[in-house]
Amino acid sequence: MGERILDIKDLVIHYETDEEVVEAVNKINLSLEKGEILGLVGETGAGKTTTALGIMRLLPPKVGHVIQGNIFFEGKDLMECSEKDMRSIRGKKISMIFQDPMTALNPVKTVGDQIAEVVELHDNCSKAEALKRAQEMLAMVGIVPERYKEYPHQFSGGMKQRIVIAIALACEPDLLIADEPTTALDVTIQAQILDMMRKLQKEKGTSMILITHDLGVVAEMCDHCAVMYAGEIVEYGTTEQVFDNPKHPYTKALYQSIPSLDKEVERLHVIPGMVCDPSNLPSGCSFCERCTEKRAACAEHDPWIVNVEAGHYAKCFQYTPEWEADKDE
Amino acid sequence: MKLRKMVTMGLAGVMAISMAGCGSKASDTSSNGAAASSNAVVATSGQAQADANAQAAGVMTANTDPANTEVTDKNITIGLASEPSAIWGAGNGTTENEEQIVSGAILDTLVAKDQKTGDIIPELATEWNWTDGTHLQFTLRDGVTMTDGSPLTADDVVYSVNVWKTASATSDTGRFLVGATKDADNKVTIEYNIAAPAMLEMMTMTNFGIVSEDEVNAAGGLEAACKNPVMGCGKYKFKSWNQGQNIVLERNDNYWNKDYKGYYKTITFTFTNDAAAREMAVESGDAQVAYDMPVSQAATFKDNDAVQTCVYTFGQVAHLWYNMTDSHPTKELALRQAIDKALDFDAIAQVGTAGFGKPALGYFEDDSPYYNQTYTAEERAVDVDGAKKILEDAGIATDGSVELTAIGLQDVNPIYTVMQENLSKIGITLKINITDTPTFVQDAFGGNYDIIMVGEYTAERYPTLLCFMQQATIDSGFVIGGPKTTTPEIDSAITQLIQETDTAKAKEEAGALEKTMKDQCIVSNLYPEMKASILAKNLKGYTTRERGFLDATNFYEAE
Amino acid sequence: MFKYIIKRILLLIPIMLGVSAIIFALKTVTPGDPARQILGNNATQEQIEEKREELGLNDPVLVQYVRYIGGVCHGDFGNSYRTGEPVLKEILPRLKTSGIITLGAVAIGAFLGILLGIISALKKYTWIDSLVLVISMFFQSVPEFVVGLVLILVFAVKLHVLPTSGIENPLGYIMPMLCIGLPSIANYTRITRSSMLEVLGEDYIRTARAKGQTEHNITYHHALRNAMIPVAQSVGTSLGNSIGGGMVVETVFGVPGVGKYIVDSITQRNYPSILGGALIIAIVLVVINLLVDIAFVLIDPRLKTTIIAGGKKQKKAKPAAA
Repeated sequence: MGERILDIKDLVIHYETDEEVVEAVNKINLSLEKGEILGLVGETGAGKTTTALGIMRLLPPKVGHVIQGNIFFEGKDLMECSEKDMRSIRGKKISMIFQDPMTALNPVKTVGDQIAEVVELHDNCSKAEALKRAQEMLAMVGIVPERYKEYPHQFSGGMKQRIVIAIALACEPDLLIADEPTTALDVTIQAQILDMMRKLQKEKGTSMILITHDLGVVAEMCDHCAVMYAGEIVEYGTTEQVFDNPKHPYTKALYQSIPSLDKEVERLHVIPGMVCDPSNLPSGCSFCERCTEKRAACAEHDPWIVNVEAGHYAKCFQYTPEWEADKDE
Repeated sequence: MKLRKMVTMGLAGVMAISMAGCGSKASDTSSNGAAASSNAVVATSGQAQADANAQAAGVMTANTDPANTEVTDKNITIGLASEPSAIWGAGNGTTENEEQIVSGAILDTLVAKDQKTGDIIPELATEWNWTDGTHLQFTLRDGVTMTDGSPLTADDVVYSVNVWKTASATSDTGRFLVGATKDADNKVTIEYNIAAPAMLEMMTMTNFGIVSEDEVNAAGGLEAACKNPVMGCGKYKFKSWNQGQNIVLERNDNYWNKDYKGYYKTITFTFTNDAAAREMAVESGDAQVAYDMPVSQAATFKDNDAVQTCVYTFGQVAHLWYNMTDSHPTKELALRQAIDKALDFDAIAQVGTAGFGKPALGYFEDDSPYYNQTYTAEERAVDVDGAKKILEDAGIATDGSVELTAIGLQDVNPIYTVMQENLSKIGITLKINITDTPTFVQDAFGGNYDIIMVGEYTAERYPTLLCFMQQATIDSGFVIGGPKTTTPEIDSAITQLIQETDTAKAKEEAGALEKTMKDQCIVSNLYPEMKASILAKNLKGYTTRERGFLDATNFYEAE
Repeated sequence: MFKYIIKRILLLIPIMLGVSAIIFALKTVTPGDPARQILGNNATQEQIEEKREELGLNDPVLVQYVRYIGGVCHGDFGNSYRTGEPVLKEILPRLKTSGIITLGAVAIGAFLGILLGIISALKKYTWIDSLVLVISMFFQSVPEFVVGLVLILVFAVKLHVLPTSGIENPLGYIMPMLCIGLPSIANYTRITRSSMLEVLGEDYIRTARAKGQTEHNITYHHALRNAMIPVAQSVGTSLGNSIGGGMVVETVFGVPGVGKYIVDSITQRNYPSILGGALIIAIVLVVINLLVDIAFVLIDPRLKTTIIAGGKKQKKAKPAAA
């Protein structure tokens, strides 16, 4: 076991508006080791991006609040850091690649400037040096460095994402959070981008959190995998464990909803029901409504996390001794 | 949006003030319009006597202060309502209020009018006499020098008369002139095409300022001289005209009359349309005079200690004329009489003069030598029942089906509104048609009205006197308002009145004529019109010329 | 770019033809004979006829129109009926005066408006935000002439620091500028605020935050320039609008400007001045709009592509790298 770079303990994040309180992230625990890639999977609204923003401390001001919990980064609790300290961490130690490359770049600044900006901020160098670094970064992500003077609108979507990645990697961060880096892109471009990211990650030894709802991407890229549902991590383990031996009913359902070339099916499997309303979570298991294996107790008590095998955890009653007992009754 | 509403409402008061400001502009144009068009207009002597009604607390009147005796190097700034298009109006045939005020300070006339007594007094001419009904001979003063240093000669007068006659041929300045002849080096005879003793008084008007041909040529010819009038022999000399900004005059230290003392070295005229802004310039000290304020607005400053308010009459009475031609309901005598009885003349005078004036009891202003009290105060009282009875006897409907149209400019709207209210009580509907000047002039020329309010300047018996009922003017079509018809008797009575050489007899004749007009109810006399200005607190010597125009040369500061 | 400018200038032709045609049409239907206005009401019919002939008023309207347009092509906008001076000569100094006041007013309005808008956006939903709203709405709600009179009362009558009217003293420009500028604050504040709020919610602002950029730099380097695009559009429009629209202010402050000139000309039925004034303002408007559009390119590089390509979009945009 290597050194832990990130350790999230009991993190709770709420979005509070005048009308309601949305419990976006509920008591999650996660850890990441140096040089490792963690896949964070789950459907839209599961709290993946919120978790990432929580780590960056970039939750929407006034609305998003970390209610409790700690995020230890290289042993330091980010929740305790001043805003100034956070600024020196963002971009330098932890970088984030955002979902939509089309809107993630400032339309009125040249791409060179936008890359150089992060370098200038953290590497204590002149503007010229920063620009030079920006050109190197462009070259690294496969864009002609001379195009650093151009504006974002002059690039295609895939190239913009490369630029976003260049910005994220410009200061060689220790942790890279990639929030669905390929969703907005064509399939062919997706592969290129992922390839490039893996290559760069290997070269620099960067740790990475890869947020996606694409299980295929996780299988291809990640060492560990965490499945989120309604703000909770319902299953965690190595990628092999979670893929080959899924334990949580939600994970299993996810696999069934992947189209397969091997089997002929009339129509795709759909998980019945809707994700529960995060502003009004049930007292029991949040997946209980849609679960095919539920029992009476599931609706009454919130299940706890069960260690189903070495390094493999699932948040479900069926792996507790009580489950068997209940069955016998 | 509630907030916005409140803010707007809270400022309603302030807005009311500036509405009054708009009113002032309208009244400027109206007096211009009336002046330029009713032949009555090129007027003459101003009225000097203090109007008792204007002597309200905190209000002063014109032409009352003793003359100035001190000479200083100070400047006086006079805020006018608008910029004139030229300074020497006689040279290009225009007559604008502002132009008259400026050129009045630059040019001297042959004779002048004592604004306190109404007497004609010598100016550039020391003597004058009528050689016959149309020939007036002037004897020129010695020792008068023009701006260019040359002495005043008879040739200058002949030249000036020729300019008036040709350049102003279409205005009252030129159209009564036949020409002038030099009788001797210091004697000139001017010939008129009409016999009217008032022509002498007319020669005191600003438009008849004397210039020399050499000066006009030196200034660049007639057209250029209108805008660059370095000429004349008046109390002040033209210095500069910064278009859109100001006109500056400088004291003529070589003025022929050594008794005259000009207190200010320079006079600066500025142009500010907005009456409230003009007044504030005086309050701030940027200007000493805000000329020609709407009387209603000036009245609001009478208790303001920072400024003086000056309100005065100027020899013009507002009249209400009835269109007596076919196809107008007002052709009926009974209807006219009923209207005359129904109108509340007190209220109309109150509105028209902001409370400073009283209803006019005759056609002339009450301090005119030709004034006759044609109506008694009782006859001017409202008599709704009497009016209704007249209508019933004449078989005229009183159910509102008789509809009359009144035309006018914006400034008379409040007065028409009072009339509308009065007439509704006898079942007559009054439609008020407020238009802009060109439309008004066109309608007034064409008789496109049933009733119309017009003022006539009657300081003297000008050839244009009662032009509303002169056959010739009615025929020409170019008269603003009036009955649009007349009788040979009235026409000849007017001619007789104009030509009468004996003042006392003229007054009698005027009285007889007014009696006829009263019997036929051709016109309803309303009230003496008034002008107002705002002056700096210590300013003295507010004097006027004809038509109440400001004479800018006599101001001085109190000790 | 050059082609684009030429195209825009050519646009002037239909605009000017339209403006002049409308005014010519009005001239034929409104009452008041220009010849009589020049000569006065005592002029004889013969004199008036002579003047009408001299002015060419007896020709068919179409002939008069064509003759006028011909003159305009040579820079001859006719002579004012009132003063006899060439209209162009009368208008140019007034245009300069109005131009200075407009520029000053827009500068004041935009500066304060943008400032308040930024403050308001950064402090959204706080009492500061509400205060800014109240201030800017106050100036917008109060009519211009009231602002003008209050300014005179305060700065001239009470404090004696500025002249009440006229522009002989350069200080005289200040109050007219304020008077036109202050009411426009609300507009700029509103646009800046909403635009700022929108931009601050954009992804690239989050990107900048993720880089570790300070809030100050994010506001002024990243957000402001983007937020300024709609504001600049509004500035451009008001530049054009207020150059001929300063009539009330020019009246209150006794400023010889082009708005008052045209309004005076209208009341005097001084057609050459009305026509000339309207046409010259139309030209100025088109030129200003063009300049504003060019200025846009400097703010928003995305437009450059569109404008240079003359509408053929994406011409220069490179194809996506394979």
